[in-house]
Amino acid sequence: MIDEAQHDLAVEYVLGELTGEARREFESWLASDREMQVLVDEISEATASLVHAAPLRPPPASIRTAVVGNVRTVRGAATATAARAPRWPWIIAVLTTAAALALLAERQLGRSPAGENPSATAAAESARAAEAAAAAEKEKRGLTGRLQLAEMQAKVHVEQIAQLGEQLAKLRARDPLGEAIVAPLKPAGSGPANGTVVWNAADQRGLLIVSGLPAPNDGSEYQLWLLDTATEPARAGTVALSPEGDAAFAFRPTRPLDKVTSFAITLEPAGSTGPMSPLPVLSGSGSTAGTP
Amino acid sequence: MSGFHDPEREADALLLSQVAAAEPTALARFYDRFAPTLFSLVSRIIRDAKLAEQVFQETFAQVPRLATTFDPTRSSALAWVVMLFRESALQRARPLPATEPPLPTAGDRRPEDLAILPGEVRGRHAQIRSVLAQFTAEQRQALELSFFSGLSHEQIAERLGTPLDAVKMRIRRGLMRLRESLKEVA
Repeated sequence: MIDEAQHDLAVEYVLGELTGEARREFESWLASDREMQVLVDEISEATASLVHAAPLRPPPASIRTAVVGNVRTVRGAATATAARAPRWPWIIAVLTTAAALALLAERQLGRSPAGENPSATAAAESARAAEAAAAAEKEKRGLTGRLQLAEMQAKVHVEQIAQLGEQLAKLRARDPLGEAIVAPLKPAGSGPANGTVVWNAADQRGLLIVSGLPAPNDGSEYQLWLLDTATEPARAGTVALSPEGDAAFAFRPTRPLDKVTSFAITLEPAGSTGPMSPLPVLSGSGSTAGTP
Repeated sequence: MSGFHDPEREADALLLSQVAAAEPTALARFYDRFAPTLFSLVSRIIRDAKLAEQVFQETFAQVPRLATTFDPTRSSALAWVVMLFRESALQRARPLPATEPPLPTAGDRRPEDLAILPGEVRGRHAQIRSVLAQFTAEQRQALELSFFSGLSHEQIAERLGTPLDAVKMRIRRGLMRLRESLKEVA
């Protein structure tokens, strides 16, 4: 499930606001998160549609000549090879000849309708044959185009299947339990409160269990932080306590992190989005459990 | 992965693949279909007419080479080419002056000659304009400063004297509304 902060991150990525390390981190996350990939694609489409907000201005005709020469196209024929001569002129010839032969046979067998002008009938038949040939040509071009597109998509899909196969092999080789960091949380002073964080950097998600925390004062709340050695502490959610002072919840950070080794719970003003308070209520470090 | 349910989108993807394959007339057809939209975009980002023409022409010359990197399963050809021209224009645009008056809203604009757009583009153009017309002036301004001026969320917040969270929300909701609108069509 993508939250608002992650959605904003995706928007900033599409708009080119993420740069340097932040961009690389996001792309690393993006490469392994299907849901985020879909969101980024959709945001890109929505962002690009803003092009229609620009006041319309036609480019000078000289630019067209400079970039495409004097090639003429039929307006609206985006996929038709309009300026090209038909690829299969023999179709027109065959159909026209067939129509002419049919007409000749009819006349020789005396089956021309009484009162009809034979030359007018022949012209009409030729016109119909030409129309049929043109329609066949158009359909053929459309089918050829769709085939080209399907081939292009198939090529992309084959590459994607290969990439997914590699990812799947890596995932199968993984030992999630062995990769997880387990960190016991201890109070800064004395007190009954304690907790445990289990964090899996590969999945960018974790689990917090705490007990014995006193209820926060009015206007305050407990917040969980992930301390990454490479960046600023990242907020991972609000700790909602039961009446007994316990809490257990799964979390995801608001941005990708790959060097998390410590965790902290701080008391912050309710709804705060500012930096982490310097005095944690509970904190602790951990290391990977290792492969059994 | 974005779907391929829109015939217009399929046609555009095919056309771009033909440009990449250097098929005769493909680039000319691509130009006739997208140039008015893209030139309007570049002119909106770069206010200097001569420089806008130069950047548009230079970027267009890159399209056949870059089209080989287009992945039709990840984006539409329109989105791909719009983001290409936007990035190119933003790199060459002068910084937005701090004293520049606010951007015009839809109602401030003069009637436009839609005939410069190919027929198949006019429908989408009108649809997006219709969605944008439903936005508040503040939302439009945030979106346009972001898209056409390349300002970060923080810069927009500072420029408009608006809290950062409010700017993020306006942009997020605006793009979500546009996204829904595009899905309705597809």
